[in-house]
Amino acid sequence: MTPTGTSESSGRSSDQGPLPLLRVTDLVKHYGGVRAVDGVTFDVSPGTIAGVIGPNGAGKSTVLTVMSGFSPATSGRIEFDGVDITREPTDRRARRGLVRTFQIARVFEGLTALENLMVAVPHQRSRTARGLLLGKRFWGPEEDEIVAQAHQLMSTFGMADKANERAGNLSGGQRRAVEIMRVLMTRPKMLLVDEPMAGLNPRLVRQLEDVLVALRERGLTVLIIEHELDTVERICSEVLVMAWGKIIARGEMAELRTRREVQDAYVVG
Amino acid sequence: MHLLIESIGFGVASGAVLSLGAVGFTLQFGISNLLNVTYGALMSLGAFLGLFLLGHGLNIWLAMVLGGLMIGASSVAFSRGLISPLTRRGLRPFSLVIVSVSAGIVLEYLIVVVAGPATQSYGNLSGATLRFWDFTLTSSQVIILVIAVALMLGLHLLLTRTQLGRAMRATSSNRTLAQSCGIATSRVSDLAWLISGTFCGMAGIALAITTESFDFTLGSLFLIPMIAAAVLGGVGQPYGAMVGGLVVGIATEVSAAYWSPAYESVIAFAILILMLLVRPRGLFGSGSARRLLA
Amino acid sequence: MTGLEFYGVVLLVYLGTDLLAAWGLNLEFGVTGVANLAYIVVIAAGAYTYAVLTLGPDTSFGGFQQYVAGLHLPFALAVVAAAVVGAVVGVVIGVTGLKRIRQDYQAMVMLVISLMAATVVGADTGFLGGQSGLSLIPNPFSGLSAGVGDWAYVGMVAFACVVGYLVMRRFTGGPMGRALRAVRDDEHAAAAMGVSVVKMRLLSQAVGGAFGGVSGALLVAFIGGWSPGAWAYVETLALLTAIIVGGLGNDFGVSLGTFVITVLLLQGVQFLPEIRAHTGLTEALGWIVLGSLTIAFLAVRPQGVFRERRPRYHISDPAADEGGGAGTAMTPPV
Repeated sequence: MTPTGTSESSGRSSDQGPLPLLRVTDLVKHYGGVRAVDGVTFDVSPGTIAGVIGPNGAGKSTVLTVMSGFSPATSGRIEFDGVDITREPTDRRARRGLVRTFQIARVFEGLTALENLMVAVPHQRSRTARGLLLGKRFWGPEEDEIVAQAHQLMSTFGMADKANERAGNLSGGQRRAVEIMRVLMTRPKMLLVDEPMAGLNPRLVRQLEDVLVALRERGLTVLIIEHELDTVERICSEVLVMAWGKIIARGEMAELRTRREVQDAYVVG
Repeated sequence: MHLLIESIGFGVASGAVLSLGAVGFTLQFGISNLLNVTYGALMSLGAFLGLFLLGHGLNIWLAMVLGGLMIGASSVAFSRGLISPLTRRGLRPFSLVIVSVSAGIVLEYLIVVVAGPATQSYGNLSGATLRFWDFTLTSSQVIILVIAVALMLGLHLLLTRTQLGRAMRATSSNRTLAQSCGIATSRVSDLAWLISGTFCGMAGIALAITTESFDFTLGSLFLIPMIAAAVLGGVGQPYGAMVGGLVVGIATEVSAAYWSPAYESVIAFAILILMLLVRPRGLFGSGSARRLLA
Repeated sequence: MTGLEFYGVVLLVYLGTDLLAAWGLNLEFGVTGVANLAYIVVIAAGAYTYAVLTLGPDTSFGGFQQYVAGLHLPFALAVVAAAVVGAVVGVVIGVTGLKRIRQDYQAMVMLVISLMAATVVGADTGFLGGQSGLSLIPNPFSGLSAGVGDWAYVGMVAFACVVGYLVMRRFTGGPMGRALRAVRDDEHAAAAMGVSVVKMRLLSQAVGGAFGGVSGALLVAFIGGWSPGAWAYVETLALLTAIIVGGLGNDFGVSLGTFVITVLLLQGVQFLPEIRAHTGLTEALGWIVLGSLTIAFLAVRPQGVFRERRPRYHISDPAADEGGGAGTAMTPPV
């Protein structure tokens, strides 16, 4: 992440590394009279895992909600991969590769776990007018490929036996896994993850951390909101601390832990 | 100009009945968060009960009160017997609307089974025609107007001056909070359903008094204007419903006079759809706005 | 043709047209989750379109009915037009449902749209025949002798159903059906996956509307007349009950539910003898049973008799199933 003071709004600076994948500028979100997000500016570089921490009510989830398009920004700008997406609807952003998970894992309950994964693959031939007209002959092979991919992914997550299980019947941890897998099937460029560790036992927490790190090695960018500060310290290269709708500190977790204003925010906020 | 004033007069008279029904409807929404479409069928039932009581020699105004109370009791049974168990089962609001529509159909056709599908009439109860200024109203319309105003005044006093009223308002705005304050919310619910059901029944009988003839569809015909009134005023807000009833009543009568009587129900439909799509919390709704988001 | 035989013809035609309508509503509600309580309006739209396009000026002798157009178009063309109009009306209704308000408010809006349409059409006699409706609508087989013509009609409806079912499967099955169900199950999550919820909803209402339009056209060409009394808002309830009881999202269940509800229940009760000259009793009983069934199923078995079944995929290559451990184990991707 680049500190706000030196970020350029256009052009490259050769000494600043790669262009940020996500750039948020002066983001503000009001709900009625409440300033949930009160002027937030930050960048996320590609191939990094950025963390957002802070006490409850700090506005972290709201930032995510606005970034993913579920709620319009009151003012400010969001740029993804060089494009201004501030006014775009959620599905448009998702098709660009900016995908989010939810605080409580949301699965498509009536579909099987495998189908949950299958439905996430973007730009399917079967969903075009031609696909509807020509039928299975046209999209059959692509479908088979998707099935194979989804099976593969479920195997590597150790859930192959649940592939044909109705998603509504899965346990909380299994749903979280399905949600993560489903998000991966969208071939995302950047993941916005909202407290994924909530409700998971320590073993699963470790495994999910390993998954995120492995994905990062393969070029995925992640922004993660988390309360598990150990997780944040382990996997995040840079961390934002939010309180009262603003960013009050940024840096590496280990260093932030010692800072006075961060400790105060948690006590008071 | 005379036409305008005269139709406003009619509007106030019909608006009074609409307000009565709308207030009952909105009370039910406030206490149970349910769009109770069965309300229409219950009004029809009220009208038929009134017919029955009239046939046994009871004075019409006494019949109105008694019939109203009987519908009140039925409403309590309805909420305890059907709505509460289904809500506890976790039925979504949409499914509950389907349930209330179906219950309404069942009730209406039960009326047909018992009393037949033929149209009925209370006979000519209009009484003398009164004229003052440019208004032309029958004495029964005036009596209904007076009764409606009295009932709403009574409701206002109940809500603001009594403990029960305060408990009802608390339960309406936040049930769980009310429970944790020690309010017996299920008793309060029962009483709210009783009161709103009584308004419902009395509205049904008032409708039957003011229309020449009616059948089992009476309630359904007037339900939408009443819901329009309730939504206009802000669902869950009794005072809003009172004002809404007047507005819808006057709008309907004025449009019937100047445009075409055939389209009068369209005005109410349009008001309802517009409000639901553009400003679901109504003109006076505020805190209840949160309930309206998906 | 005996009376009984003709009654059989009537039941079959009603069954066929109701199936088309039920499939359409199932696509909208059962598969895509669109709470369209105004579905009867698209059926009516199809019926009126067919009527208006096939009635020639010669039926207005004495001016007893007035309507728009009066084009005397051939049967097939009129049915196609009915499908198109149904689709358009379906999309228009769908657009009103796009505003994200509570689902029960949305249901209310649909109900009111249905009532409003009936009132508007019923009020103005100049348009579509008003309350008395349109009649003398031509039957394509009227040239044939009575018995043959009737069975020919049944055959045609059956053909329409076969074609309709195959078209329906394109949407309820396969990847499209999966995407529509995702919108039904969780539209926010679907949007977050890049699925355009608006497109999916409107698509389902266009196709559902087309089915409704054809259903209405085929029905009206058989009956010969159509008026607001035929399309009261309760008719949508009857279809809704059929698909809820049969099984939402299950093509077979919906078909069976339609047979049971609309044929056995609503038509079949006409067979029962009228009791002590209590006219309308059997019809009332039919509706009472219908309403009670809806409530019972929504309360106890909302998925219907035949619950929705999803396809099971198996990988033929055993190597892909390695590494299956406890359900919640997660290992990093290879």
